This record gives sequence, structure tokens and C-alpha cells, in this order.
Amino acid sequence: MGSAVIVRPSLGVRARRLGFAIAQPVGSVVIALIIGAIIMIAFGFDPIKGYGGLFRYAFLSEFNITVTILNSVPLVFTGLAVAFAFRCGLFNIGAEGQLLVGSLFAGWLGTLIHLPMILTVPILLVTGSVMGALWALLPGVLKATTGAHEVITTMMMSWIGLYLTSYLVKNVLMDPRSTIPASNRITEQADLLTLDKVFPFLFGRPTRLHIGVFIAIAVAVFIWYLLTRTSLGFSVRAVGSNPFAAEAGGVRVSRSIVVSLLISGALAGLAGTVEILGLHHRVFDRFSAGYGFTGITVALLAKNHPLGVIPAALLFGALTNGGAGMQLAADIPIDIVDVLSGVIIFLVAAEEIVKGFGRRRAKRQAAAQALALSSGDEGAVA
Amino acid sequence: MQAISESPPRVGGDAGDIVVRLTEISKFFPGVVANDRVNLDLRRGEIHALLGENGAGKTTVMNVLYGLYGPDGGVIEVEGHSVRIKSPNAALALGIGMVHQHFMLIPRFTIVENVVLGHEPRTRFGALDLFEARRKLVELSERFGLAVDPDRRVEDASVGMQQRAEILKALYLGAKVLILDEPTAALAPQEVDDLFATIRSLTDGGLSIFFITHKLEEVIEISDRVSVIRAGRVVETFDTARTTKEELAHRMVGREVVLRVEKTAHTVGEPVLEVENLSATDHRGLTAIDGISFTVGAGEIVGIAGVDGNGQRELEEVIFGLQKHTGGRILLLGEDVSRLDVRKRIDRGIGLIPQDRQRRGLVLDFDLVENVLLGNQWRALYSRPLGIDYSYLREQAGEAVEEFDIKTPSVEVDASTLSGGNQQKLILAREIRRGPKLLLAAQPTRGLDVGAIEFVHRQLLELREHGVAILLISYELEEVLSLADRILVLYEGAIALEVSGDDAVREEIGLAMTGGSRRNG
Repeated sequence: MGSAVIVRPSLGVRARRLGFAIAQPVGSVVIALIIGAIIMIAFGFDPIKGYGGLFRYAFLSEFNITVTILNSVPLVFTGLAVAFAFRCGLFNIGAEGQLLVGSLFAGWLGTLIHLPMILTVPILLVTGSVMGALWALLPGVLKATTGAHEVITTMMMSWIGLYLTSYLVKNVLMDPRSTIPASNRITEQADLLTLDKVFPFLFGRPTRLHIGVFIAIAVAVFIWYLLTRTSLGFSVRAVGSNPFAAEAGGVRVSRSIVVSLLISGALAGLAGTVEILGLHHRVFDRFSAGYGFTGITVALLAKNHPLGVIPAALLFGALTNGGAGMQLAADIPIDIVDVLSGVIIFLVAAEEIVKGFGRRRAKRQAAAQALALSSGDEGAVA
Repeated sequence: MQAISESPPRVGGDAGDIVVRLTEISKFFPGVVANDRVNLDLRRGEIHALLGENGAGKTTVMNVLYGLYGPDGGVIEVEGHSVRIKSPNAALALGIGMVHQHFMLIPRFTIVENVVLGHEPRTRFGALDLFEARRKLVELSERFGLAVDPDRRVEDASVGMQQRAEILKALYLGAKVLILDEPTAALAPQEVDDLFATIRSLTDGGLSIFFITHKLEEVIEISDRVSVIRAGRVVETFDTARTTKEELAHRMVGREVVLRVEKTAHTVGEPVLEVENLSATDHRGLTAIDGISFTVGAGEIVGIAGVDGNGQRELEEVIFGLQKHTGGRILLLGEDVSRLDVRKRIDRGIGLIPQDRQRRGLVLDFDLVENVLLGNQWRALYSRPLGIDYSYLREQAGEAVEEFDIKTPSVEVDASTLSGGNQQKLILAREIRRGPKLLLAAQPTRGLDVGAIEFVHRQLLELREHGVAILLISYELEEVLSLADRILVLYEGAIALEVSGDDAVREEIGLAMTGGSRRNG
């Protein structure tokens, strides 16, 4: 064939590549479920009943699937937040604090303004992401200027954010008539439309599902595009893979670091803001169920791919929801869900174990192929 | 685990006494035949060079012998007995040791600790007993003239000493057969001489050595026999005394190779790069470049000669803007660029072939397409309002691959899968296709085989024809002598000697490189 260079691999090749990329996370989940089953048997539970309950309570009714999806929405945002920073080589483990700070200020502003919905919603979403981003600004600047490790600084900022928001909710925003620490109701103009209002022909009755679901998907697609198709995303990924080569390629490395953490923080802030505007309509003290931390798990399972974050978030949304069902149906402690996610993370992190099987097979095939070729006529494959 | 019996060694007639015989060894990797029915033998006490281009399969077949890879076919015989070598430990038990190109030492450990690592001697109470090991190490070190300080930490030892430590480790573990993988790649010229002396004392002491290299001079100088490997096959095995460099180069590359590219005389244009009183410090803050001035004109190759560590790295980084200067100016076509960042300098027309190509030049886990994009990501060529035009970029990458003859199955494989020579071609393609006015070429052929070196040299000379100013920084004096129109010798951050390429006197340059002379102009 001479010098013909394959510029674009065939559809089949690319499909196989995608298959390989997905096989590992999926395999990890399957193995985790098997290990979970073994643990259940070891403790005298019936795994079939357990998983049956999990599945039923996660998916098998309009109500259940609604809860699962609602659980997943903030995880898509926090998963994206962590994944984006990861692609720049940064480990933002403080998404929880960025989420709380972002949503607190968005919610606070929401109790004060009175504008039409078409303005209110965008203003509050922007506020939430800007405040989330600001909460990540200091770690970003410290990393870029002094090299202070972001794992330490984002975590510290996260605790500051947690206590700050808690203090503000209890002492400044709290509705005097309320018995629990929560703010006044945010203006109704800020409520994210529920899907029965947007698609009345699809939903016969009112649903809690809100347009935040679509915002999450749209943002995931946007982040994917940003990372893989723009020069900003390219620079961020170059810094994440090899900052020295990125620098020699004219990338301003410290700026990329700051920008990545800002975007990461903005996504985390968006997570909390959508949650509040879509579901709670008030700012509660510590309303987040650890979404920022679960986001790390989601990003890992998604292998930091922005689109992979969607199914990964859905899985963890389903696990938290279905875990309760497992407890109801088979009396299995909900903690087994934590065991499952622990095993999943372990397997995803320990790539080689799962990959090894596939690779050994590929190697054997290649060997057979090469042998067939060389026994034909001329040997070496270029 | 002992596989060698006490049976008398087989004597193979006039072929001498064969220690290791590889018969029909094949090794496959996905899509590649790395070794195709390779036949090799090693006689007792000989130095057997394995010569081949990067990616020819020299290291692979030795990794098979060392037990790192299982062969997909063929037979290994050691001392006349057919053996299966499943791990490096099994290889060591058979008396086969290997020193890799990249040392496998723990920087924080001392040399003696590294030597015993994995085979730690214990006292009766189970504690680590370094005393006996140290004694044995010193004895070996003296016997073979391998000078090391056993108590020095590896991170504080010179590259040469680290290499001697690796060799000693193999000897300590009882190696009778030593595989040296490109042992000179990391060494300074003086250290190479020391290494060759060591190797001779090892063979005098009864060891047999496989010597992997792609450098013709080394083969001629050190080896008794040489096997040329091309595309996974042994092309031919020669007695070194009965062959020539030209013949070896031809067999190795598979075509006639010009070992020294012809340079045409022509006139130098306007100054492109003007360096005035430039100073810079190294990473410890010590003076690395000490107020140097020089110019490079359009169509001129200025060669910076010198021993590694005399300010070359800082010069490269400072001119490209990767490191701040501490004094002086850098003018590009009359404009002061010394305060501009890398991106602006690229825009002004500076290209870089970095001496550390895997660290500075490429993002190894990006594919070829995105490596072509590096340094171009903001440029109108690829950048569109809605993002990067990847389909156009892919086309361009495909063109680059063809134009620079980069051997790859596709442009969408990671740069890490390319051989060293092809990685360098990829960098060249990217930098040259950008159309630089000034090209900084630092160690542009380090680690490359003759075919690739010829290619790189031709490219540089072609750029010179097109009026590009080239600053060539190289530790290979030969390279500087054959390419440069003018030669500056850098010694301790200052220019110790400046000569024109025509009246370049090798001895004088060599002397200046070691601080022996200071002639002005």
C-alpha cells in the first residue's frame, strides 16, 4: 500500500474503540454487582431479592424513575465539575463547598429580586455558577502562583464554604416562621418549569421532573464540545497530559489552571443552583447530600468523559434510590450500596485488572493474524 | 531453578564456544511482527553487537532472552541446554543479566542498596546485612575496574556511575552473559571511553556481551561480531573486522545512506536572531549563561558546540521564552522579543526542536493530529469561530505524515506509539510546516539511527536554502562540524571560541569545549 496514510479510521474501527472505552467501566459495574451478591450471600441475604428490590425501586414506576433522575441531575453537574478539572490534571475535591456557596448566593438573590421568569432563571443560574467559580478561584490562583496543591486548598475552601453557608442560613437568611434552618421561599419566577408544563402531551399529571434535566444534558454536551473541539479545551487537556509540552506549545499554563478550576467551580455551583431552583425553592442548611463528593466517583467511573458522566450519574442516582428499596424488599442494609460504589471505584482505578482480559485476547488475535500474514508471503507488518 | 548443569560446555568447531543460542525466535505484538525467526548466537568472551534502526526489534529479542517477554516461537539454548526463561529472575539464575537503556535504580537508595534490592542478604536475625554485600561489591568493582562509591545515593551519582552500578548489580547476581541496551546513549564522550574499557575488561574476565546499538562507530570500535537487524529479522552477521561502516549502514537501512550530507556554499542574509549580552540562571539560581552575544543570519546555521551542562539548555529555553532571562536582549528581525511569552514568540516566527522531545516536544498520550495542533491551536489556520477545524487539521496531519515519511498506521494513534525517530520527524513536521524564520534545533538527532539522522540533516539544510536562520545546539561535535556555517563553543555559559565552519579545527574546538583555550573571534 506504500505511503497511504489512514486519515480517518472507518466507522467500524471507531465503534470498536468506543466499545473498548465503555467495556471497562461497564465491566467494573458488573463485577461490583457480583461481589455485592457474594457479600449478600455471605451475610445470609438473598441477592436476587435484593437486586430485584434495588431495580424495582430505582426504575420500575413513574415515581421511582422520577426520583432516580432527580438524584442524578446534580451528580451530572458535579461529575462534570470534577471531570473537567481532572482533564487539566487537577483534582478538585472541593466541589461540595463550591456547590453550597454557589447555590446559597443564587438562592439568597432569589429571595430578594422580583423580575419576570425569563430574566430571573438565567440571572440566578449565572449567579450560582459565578459564586461557585469564585469559591474555586483562590485554590486556582494559589496553584498557579505558588504550586500549592489543589487537593488541600479546595478541601479547605470546601469546609469554609460549608460552615459559611450554614451560618448564613441559620443567622441571616432563615425564615423566622420556619422551624428548620431554611431561607424564605425563593421567588416563584425562579422555579424551573416542570416537564408536565413544558410537554403537556407527554405527562398526564404533574411531575417533579423539571427542565434541570435538560440543562444538565445540554451542559454535558457543551462541556464535551468545549474540551474536544475548542482551543481552550485543547490547551486544558494539553496541560493535563504534559504541562511542559503545553508550555512549549504556547499554552499559558497557569492561566489554564485557573480557568479550569473556575469552570469546575462554576459547574459545581450550577449543580446546587439547579437543585434549589428545581426542587427545594428554598436554601436549606446543608441541603446537599454529598453531591460534590459523589461527583468524584461519577467522574472516575465516566473516565472523565463529559458524556460518560450522564450514565455514570444515572447509575449512582439509581443506586441511592434503589438502595432504600433493597432495604425494604429484602431487609438488606442500605450500606451495601456504599460497598458497591467502593468496589466500582476500586475496579475503575485498578484499570489493569479488567483491561488485562481484553488485552490478552487482543494479543492472541494479533499474533494469529501476524502469523497468517507472514506465512503467506512477505512478513513484517509496517 | 537451576537450569545449568555441570556438563562440559559444547564446543562448536571453529565457531568457538557458544554460550547462548537463539533459534528462530519470533515475537508478535498487536499489528506488528517485532521479531521474525531471529537466529543469533553468542560466543564465550565475545562482544556481539546488535545493530539496527529504532524499532528494528533489537531490544525486543534481548527482552525475550532476559525473560521480560515470552517468545511466540523459537528456542533459546544456554550452555547447550534448551531453556524456557519466564522472568528476569529466571534469566539471572541462568547467568544472564541486562542493563536497560533507562536505568532501573531507585534514586533515594545508595548504590549498594540498589545492588542488593530484591536479593537482600539477611543476618541470622532477619535484619538487612549490607556488610557482606558491600564487601562483595567492592571486590567486583576493583576486579573489573568499575569505579563506584557504594554508599553514594543514586540521585547524587553521575550517569556513568549509575550505569556502572547497573552493571555491577548484574555481576553481583552472577551474570556471565551481559546484555547492554544502548549503553552509550546517556553518556558524555569521556564516559563512553571509560565504558568501553570496562566492557573489554569484562570480556577479558570471561563474560560474553550482547551490545545493542544503532551507532556505527561503536560497532566498529568495540564489537567482535555484529548482527544487523532490520524489520524484526537478522539481515546478516559479520565479523566486525571484515566489514565497513558503509556496508553496515546499507544493510541496516536497506538502502544507500549518506553518512555526511553535502552542504552547498551560499551567502548569508540579514541577521534574524541577535542576542546581546544575554544572561540567565539555571534552576538553582546560579549563572548558566554569562552575557553572551551572537547573531544568526537568514540562511545560516550557527552551531553551538560544547559539553552538556555548559548553558545549552538555558540558552534554548531562554530564546524560546520558556525561561526568563536575567539580562541582555534577544532581537528577532530587529524586534526585541525578550519579554514576549512563548505564544507571541511562535507568532513572530520562532520554531523549536527541543532537546527533550518527549517532555517538551510532544504530548505522548495525544494522537498525531493533536500533536500537530500543538503550538497552532490559536492560529487562524485551524481555529474557527466555533472551535477547531478538526477535519482540516486531520488532512494536514495526514500530509505531514506523508511529507516527512512518518511511519504510523494512522494519524489517530497516540504519539507514544511512534519510535523515537518518528517522534522526532513529527516534531520537525510541525515546526517546519509552520514556516519559521528562526529554528532552534537542540540535539535534533539524539538517539536517532543513521537513516533518521540523514533525514533530519537534509531537512535542516533545506531550510537553510530557504533562508531560515538555524541555531543548532548539539553535543555531537560531528554534527556541528558537518552542518554549521559558524561554530560557537559554549563553555561555562560563555562563548569560548568562535570559528567559521570552513576553518573549523577539530582539536581547537575540542580544547575549547573543555576550557582549554580562549581565542577571540
